[in-house]
Amino acid sequence: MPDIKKLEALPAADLLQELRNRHRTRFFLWPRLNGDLRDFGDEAIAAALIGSQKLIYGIDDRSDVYQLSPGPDLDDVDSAVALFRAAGVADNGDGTSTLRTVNFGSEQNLCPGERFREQPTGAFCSGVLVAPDIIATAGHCVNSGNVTDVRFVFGFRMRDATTAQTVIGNREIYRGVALVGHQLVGNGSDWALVRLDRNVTNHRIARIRRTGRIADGQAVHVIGHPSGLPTKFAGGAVVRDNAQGAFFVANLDTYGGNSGSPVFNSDTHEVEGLLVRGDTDFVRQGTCQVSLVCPTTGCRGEDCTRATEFAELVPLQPGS
Amino acid sequence: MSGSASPNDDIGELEKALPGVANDAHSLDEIETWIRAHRCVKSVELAPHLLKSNPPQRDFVIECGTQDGTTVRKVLNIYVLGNRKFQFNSLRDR
Repeated sequence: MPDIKKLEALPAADLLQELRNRHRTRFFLWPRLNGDLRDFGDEAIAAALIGSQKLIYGIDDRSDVYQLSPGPDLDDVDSAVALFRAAGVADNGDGTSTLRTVNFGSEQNLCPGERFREQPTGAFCSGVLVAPDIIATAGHCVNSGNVTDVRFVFGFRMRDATTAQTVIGNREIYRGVALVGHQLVGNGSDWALVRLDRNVTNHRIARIRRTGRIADGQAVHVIGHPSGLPTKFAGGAVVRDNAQGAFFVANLDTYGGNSGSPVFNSDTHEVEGLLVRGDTDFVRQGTCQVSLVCPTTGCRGEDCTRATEFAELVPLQPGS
Repeated sequence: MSGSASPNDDIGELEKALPGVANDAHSLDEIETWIRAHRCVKSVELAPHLLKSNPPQRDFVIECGTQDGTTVRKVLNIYVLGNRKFQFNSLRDR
């Protein structure tokens, strides 16, 4: 019987690396495995990893919109949008449309206990309103070939713990008509500005940083659609690498679907950047998947394209 | 796996076969191995990051030699669908 205490004593980064190496050996590559962990199954290692991560990081920082109190954080939410394909939005013929969604837990084969597993998922990216008719998002989400096929949806969120808003008034749904600008560099700048089919008059236009750069260690939060879920707010993060010109790195809790999410300065509530790249989201635990929350020093962090990369193409707003 | 029968040194053929190969693959390593088997290929590198769309995307950076002695650099972008499934998205110049 393997000694479980041996697992609990190992750093989370070592456990994470062991799981990744084991995954690779199932295919073609044969990285070095940790001999100390030979006697432990994947499930035991994953459980120990989750336990140790919780010790390091505390709880998952994501929360639903209905859990936020009135104030600047909730104001920030007002400018965020979900991106759906046109085929993912069905017009009901009565002034509303229904978002085509699937159950998150089933779609991702999530283990019991995973957060939000009973919620619907459907958004493919996130974005933010930066001018009356311009959305900023990631360059790998929208390009000249698909821009007119994208629908920008306000209000895809949980109304309470169990009810998602998936029927949306058509006035809250906008169509992309053209790219105002676009850049996609492999490990660099990644952004798109999309012109909408009409002005947005009932949502807050987010202020964006236009000059200078965010401070090292600055607290930030992100608003978007992790895994395509209804809007989530995630704080408790800081800038941890500010050296690159086109992007900064933060330890934000993000998933696939967060691309294009506005990353706000938690003090000024200006958009400092757009979430674009990061680490793996899930790891297999036995027959199902669990979130992989990274230890502080164990992962690469999440890349955020600086707002200053595209700010010159965004018209100045009155009062900004 | 489709397109894996005989390696060739033609970048055009590589481009033509890549979508099918990516769609049929069961791992990123499998895709990388298939690309690397082509004689024109000088290097293949899987970018370390995940592009955070839903589903997420991964990039392979491919360097391929041509008959006139130049090197073509391409980025193969694929969707990671989960459950060991992938879908070709794009092949663009770097």
